[in-house]
Amino acid sequence: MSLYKTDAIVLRHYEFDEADKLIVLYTRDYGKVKAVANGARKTKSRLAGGVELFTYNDLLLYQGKSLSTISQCEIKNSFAKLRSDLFKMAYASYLAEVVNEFTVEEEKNESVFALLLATLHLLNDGGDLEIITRFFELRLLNLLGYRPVIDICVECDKELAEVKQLRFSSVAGGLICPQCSKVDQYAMRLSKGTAAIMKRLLTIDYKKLDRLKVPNRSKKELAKILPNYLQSIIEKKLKSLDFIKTLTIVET
Amino acid sequence: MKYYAQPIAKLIGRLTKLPGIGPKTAQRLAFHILNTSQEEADELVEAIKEVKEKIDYCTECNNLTESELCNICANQERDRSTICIVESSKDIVAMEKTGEYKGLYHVLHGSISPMEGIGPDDIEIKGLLSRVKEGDVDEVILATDPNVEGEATAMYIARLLKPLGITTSRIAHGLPVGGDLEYADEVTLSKALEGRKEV
Repeated sequence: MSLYKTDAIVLRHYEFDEADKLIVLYTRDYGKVKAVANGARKTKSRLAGGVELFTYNDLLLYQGKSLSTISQCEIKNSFAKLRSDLFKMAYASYLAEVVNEFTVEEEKNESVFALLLATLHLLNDGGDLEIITRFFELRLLNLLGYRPVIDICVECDKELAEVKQLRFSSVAGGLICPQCSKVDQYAMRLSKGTAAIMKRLLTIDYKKLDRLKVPNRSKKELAKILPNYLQSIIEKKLKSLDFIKTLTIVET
Repeated sequence: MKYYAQPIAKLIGRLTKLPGIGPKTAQRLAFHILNTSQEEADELVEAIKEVKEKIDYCTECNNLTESELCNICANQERDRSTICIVESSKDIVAMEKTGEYKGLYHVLHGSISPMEGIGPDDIEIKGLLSRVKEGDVDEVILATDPNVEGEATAMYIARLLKPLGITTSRIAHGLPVGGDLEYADEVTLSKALEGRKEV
C-alpha cells in the first residue's frame, strides 16, 4: 500500500520542520493515521485548506518508512460553520480530542469514523451543541466497549427500575444503588430522568436528535458525569473541556 | 566508544538540540566552528549571550525589544489610533515589509487552542484590553493566522471588544498573488468571493 486513497477527518495538527505540518487523521479505511503535509504552512500551499482541523477530505497518501505523506487532497466538507462560531469550534475540538485519545494508530473502525462524521455534521448545522456532544460521547463509549451500565446496579446486579437515589460511578462504569455507594465515594448523583435520557441517547437515530427534549437539570448532570467517565477511562485530562468552561463563563 | 574529543562531542550535542538540526548537520556546523578564526567564534558567542541578556518584551505591545519600548511603540510618527493584533513578533516583520501599515501592534505570543490546553488566559489578551480602554484607540485590526486557532482567537477578542464600541476588523482571506485559481481550495475561494471588491 505504498500509495493509498481514503476518506479522512483532520483531528489535530502540529508544526513540523520549516514549513510542513504533521497531521493526525482519522481515516475510514485505516483508522488513525499520522501524515506529513509538505509545505502546508506556506501561503501558496495547495494542501493548506485541506489539512485544517475538522476538514473532511478525500486523500491520496504515500506510505513512507514511519509516516505517511499527503500527496493530494480534495475537500469533501470543510465544516466552515465550525470555525465561525466559538462554541461550535470548542465542542468540535472536544470531539477531535476524544477520538484522538481513545483510538490507537492504524486500527480500522468504520463505525467510529461514521459517528465522528455524523456528529460534525450535526454540530455544523446547529441545534443543541451540548446534547449533540453527549450523544457522541455515549455512542463512542458504546462502540469502543465502554458502554455504561444503566439498567442494573454494576456492583450487585439489582434491577434499578424501582430504586431511588442512584449514583453514577466512573470507576465501576455505570449506575450503582444506594447499598453499593460505599464502593465509589466519588460517584455522582443522577436523577431517574437523566438515566432515562442516557438510555434514549444510546439508541436514538441521530437524525431525530433535535426532537429529543432534555431538561436543564439532566443536561447539567450529564455534562458532569460523561466527561468525567471519559477522563477516568483514559486516566488523563481532556484539555478542550477547560475552554468550553471558560466560554460558558464569559457568556453568562 | 568515543569518536570525538569531549569538547567537540559537547558542541555537537548542543547543536543537535536546535530545531531542524540532525546529528550530521550538527557535526558539520561543529567542525565549521572549529575551523573559523577565534574572533568569529567569539562574535557568535557574544551574539548569543547578548540576545538572551538584552531582549525583553515591550511594555506596551509585547513585541521583542532591547529597550523599554520597542522601535514601533517609541516612534512618535506612527498612528496611535489603530492597533494590529498578531500572534508572534515574526508576524510584525511580515506586516512591516508591506509598508502599508502605519499603526501600532499588539503581540499575543500564541493563539487559543483548546486541544493544546491553551486558553484565553494563556495569551497576552489582558494587556490589550487595558491598552484599548486607556488609549485613544479607534480601530483594532485582527491579523491572527487564517486557521482554526487564529480564527477562534480573533472571534474571542472581537467578542471582548464589542461592548467597548471600537471598530474591530479582520484581515481578508483570499487568493495569494501569483496563485492559480484552479488549485485554490474551496474554503479560500469562497472567502475570496465573499470579500470581492468593485473595480
